[in-house]
Amino acid sequence: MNLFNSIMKMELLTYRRNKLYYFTGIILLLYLLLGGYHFLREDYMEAGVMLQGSSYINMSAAMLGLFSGIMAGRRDKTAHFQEVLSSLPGDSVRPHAKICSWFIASAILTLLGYLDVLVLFKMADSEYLLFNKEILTYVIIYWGIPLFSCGVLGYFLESAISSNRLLIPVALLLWLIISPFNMILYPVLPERVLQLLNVGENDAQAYYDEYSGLHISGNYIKNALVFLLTSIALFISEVAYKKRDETGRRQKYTMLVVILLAMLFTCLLFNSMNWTEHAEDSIYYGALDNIPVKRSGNRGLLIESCNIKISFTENSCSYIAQEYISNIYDRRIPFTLYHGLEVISVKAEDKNIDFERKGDILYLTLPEGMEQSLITFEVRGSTGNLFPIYENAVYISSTFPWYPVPGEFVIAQKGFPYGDVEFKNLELEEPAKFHVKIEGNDQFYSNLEEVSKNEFQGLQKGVSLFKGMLISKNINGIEYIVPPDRVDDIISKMPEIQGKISYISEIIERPAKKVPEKIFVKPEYSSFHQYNYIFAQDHITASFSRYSTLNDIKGVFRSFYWNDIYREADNAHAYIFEIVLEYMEEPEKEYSYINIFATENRGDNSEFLQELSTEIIKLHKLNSEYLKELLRDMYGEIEKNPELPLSYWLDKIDELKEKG
Amino acid sequence: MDKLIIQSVDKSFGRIRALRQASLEISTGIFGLLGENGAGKTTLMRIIATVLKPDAGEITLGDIKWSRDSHKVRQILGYLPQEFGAFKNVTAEECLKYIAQLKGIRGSEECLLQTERVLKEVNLLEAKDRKVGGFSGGMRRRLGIAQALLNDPELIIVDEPTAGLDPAERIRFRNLLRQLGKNRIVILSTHIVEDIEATCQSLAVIKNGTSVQFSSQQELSAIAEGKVWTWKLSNADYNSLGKDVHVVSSKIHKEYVEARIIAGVKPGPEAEETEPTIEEGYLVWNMEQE
Ligand SMILES: Nc1ncnc2c1ncn2[C@@H]1O[C@H](COP(=O)(O)OP(=O)(O)OP(=O)(O)O)[C@@H](O)[C@H]1O
Ligand SMILES: [Mg+2]
Repeated sequence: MNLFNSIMKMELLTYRRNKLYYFTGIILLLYLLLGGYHFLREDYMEAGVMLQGSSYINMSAAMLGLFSGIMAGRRDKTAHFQEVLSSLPGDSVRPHAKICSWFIASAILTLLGYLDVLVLFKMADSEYLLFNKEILTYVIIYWGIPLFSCGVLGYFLESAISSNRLLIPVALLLWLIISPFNMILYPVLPERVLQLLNVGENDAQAYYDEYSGLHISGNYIKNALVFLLTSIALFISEVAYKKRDETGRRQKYTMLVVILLAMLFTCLLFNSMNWTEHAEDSIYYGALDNIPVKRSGNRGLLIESCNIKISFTENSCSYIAQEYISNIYDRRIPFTLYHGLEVISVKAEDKNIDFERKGDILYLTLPEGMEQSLITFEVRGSTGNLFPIYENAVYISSTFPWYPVPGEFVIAQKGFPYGDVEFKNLELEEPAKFHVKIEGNDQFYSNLEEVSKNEFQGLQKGVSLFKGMLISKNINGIEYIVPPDRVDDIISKMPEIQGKISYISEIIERPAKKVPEKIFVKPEYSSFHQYNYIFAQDHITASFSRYSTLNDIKGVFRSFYWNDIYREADNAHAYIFEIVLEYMEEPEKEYSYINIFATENRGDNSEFLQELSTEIIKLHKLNSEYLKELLRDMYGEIEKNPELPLSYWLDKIDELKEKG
Repeated sequence: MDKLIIQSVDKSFGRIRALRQASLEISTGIFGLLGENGAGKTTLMRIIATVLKPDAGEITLGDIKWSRDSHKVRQILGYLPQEFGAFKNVTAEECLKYIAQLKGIRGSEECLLQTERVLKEVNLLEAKDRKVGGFSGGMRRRLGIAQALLNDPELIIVDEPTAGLDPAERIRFRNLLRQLGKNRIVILSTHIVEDIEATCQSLAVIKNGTSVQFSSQQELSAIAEGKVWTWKLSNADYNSLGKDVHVVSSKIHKEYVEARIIAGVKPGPEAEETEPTIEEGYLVWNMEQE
């Protein structure tokens, strides 16, 4: 151990005296200053974007590592010191001591990088600082591990390749193979393998996805560990190979370590191969028939109470939900449950019962004569991509049937006129006593009240569960649950949103909706305005990125006056409300939909839309008040008869024109 | 003290057979290894220094067997390789302290003491805080000698230690060697016969990997008995000597040149037979091998 320490001390001394490391330190410092400049002054970069966009640091770390490793292997030889050293005690532990001291050197550089980032974020006054653990994980996975492992690999290469002329090209090739740019080798190696080899971001120009946050979930950690272990395994086997003359216990021991490492490595390899992907909702619902299915609703079926024990794993969840159901009208009753969630078993009062699954609908066959029953569902699966589960982020909404909702409903359908998937609001009609317990230690947020760590309860019409890089902030009595650096944006938009809500309420003569006191901000899913908000009884979810237009009147209408309730019928009417509202806000705007449709043929319903738009413009010219009247009347008519045909709009316009 | 016994050591590098059945018996004192370039001296020394493993043969010192106890050998060894250097950005003192620690000297106090002692022996004390990268060739060599002396090794192996040393340092070093040789085994390889003349009790000559041991310097010089001649010639005569005449050395005087010549028969009428030196013994031995 003394020998080991002495060797390590000497190795560290050579690092300390090596200008390369000071140079690296200075580069990091420069990065801080320049980064700070962009970050603070120019203000176009955000904390997460900056971190994720730092592939070049990852690549330079790999390069520095490789060459440091080669240098560490070479140092004794080039200094003509090796002869003496190899005649001294401690020669056999030297490689290990070298790697250990490289570990310390790279740990110091990594720490420096981490502090650098923290100072930078501090200078920029970013809330991202709150996620310093995540930042540390990121820095270790993407900077530290590549730096250290590449050092080990460099040492390995130096020892394994005797030809000087070959060593540098091989090192450079290796550097390319493990970098995000290894995709240029795509025809030679399969994509999965390349992904596994890549020690950086999957994509060098990776766009920062607030949705899932930094790429630090288990798969990424595994990937990095596999790389680390591989390089260590290579190193150990090389040292063992060089020592092959010395027989005896030591060699057997090393062989054992190598075999163990190799096994571990293979396990991890196969484990990290299954990167599950989310089912595309647009494909599933897009394939469904355009004509909406008729559903029977719940026919009075009621949840009195619902007790859920849930755990989340990588991209899926599994839970046991105990629902106390009353008003059972038949032996066979339907429930609505997102098709991605698989039902494993159903019990009524502790007895297994038969069930049948048809897409989003689950039919139970109950024992004879039950009017109410405690039904226990065992479920697992994934929730699709609008309400996704990631390893480090969960965004499931109370409007989404992630637990069995009694009755037969449509979850989503193709929208009008472009066929995008539109989700409906499936909150319960009557509040139920919910109690949700989440396994694990990750911080979750919910619309329900938190009674203890990750245990929520309350009398509500549904349950939203959020997890991710989120911060909870209470400002002026409103609770915001937001990604870092977002709260100011959303607060500044609130008055305008409230203004638009009142504006619409006056037109359609309905009470103005109040923005609830709990606002969840989830990163933007899609730029379609339909998803700007999800308006639930006690909270809203605002889907929001830096550039999204939360105050778009179309989105406000859709969320607060259309999807505020379950509407089974076609959403085509909603679309017309939206474009008329948009037109009324600014009739002269060239690029409003009405003005475009009036002049151009677009989409599947182009003829109808063209005629309607032309008529609306005419009506507006006649008297702008008529448009308000049109919207108010239509809103009322649709409430009475959701099946109203689209052509009714033209009839109504004619009616109004005749009046004038 | 025990003898260092080298028994039939073989070593090949690919096709090159660097050592063939080299066998030596070395007792306390200074032992010289003489041999032309590429003869196998360094190879033998590296094997003794445990840097290389022989293909066959064994080396023993008392109960220590090289094939089995290389770690024990390393503890009693001081080795100066033919080419010695240390990390450029490390000072002489740091370098020596490091080696002292590796040699198992406990305690920083003791390390410092020994470091100072060996630095004094090689006259480098003033330069102890200078980085090795800035040393001259001779200074680096002296540092190499210093490190070999750390921890009072029982066995010292020095490969061409005087190469690159100035005359004053060379003499200093020879004196140091003589001191060391009093109670330990010192193996010295060199091309410089003077080194051997000045220090060695016994010696061996290596040629093409084969070694021949001589118990004393006289035994080697005796080989040239009757074959060395001194001849005083005029400058003109000296310059017109044929290529077939083997001149070992010559002293240029004002009027004449005094040449020492190796020849089986009297090379000229004025030539006189003289006492051969070991260099001449070595040269004659070499010629006889061919
Ligand atoms: N590592 C090696 N790889 C290949 N051949 C080697 C190696 N070391 C020595 N040799 C060969 O072995 C033979 C003996 O070399 P060695 O260095 O022992 O000679 P030497 O007597 O020390 O010569 P010099 O007086 O020039 O130092 C030479 O032919 C040399 O080319
Ligand atoms: Mg040599």
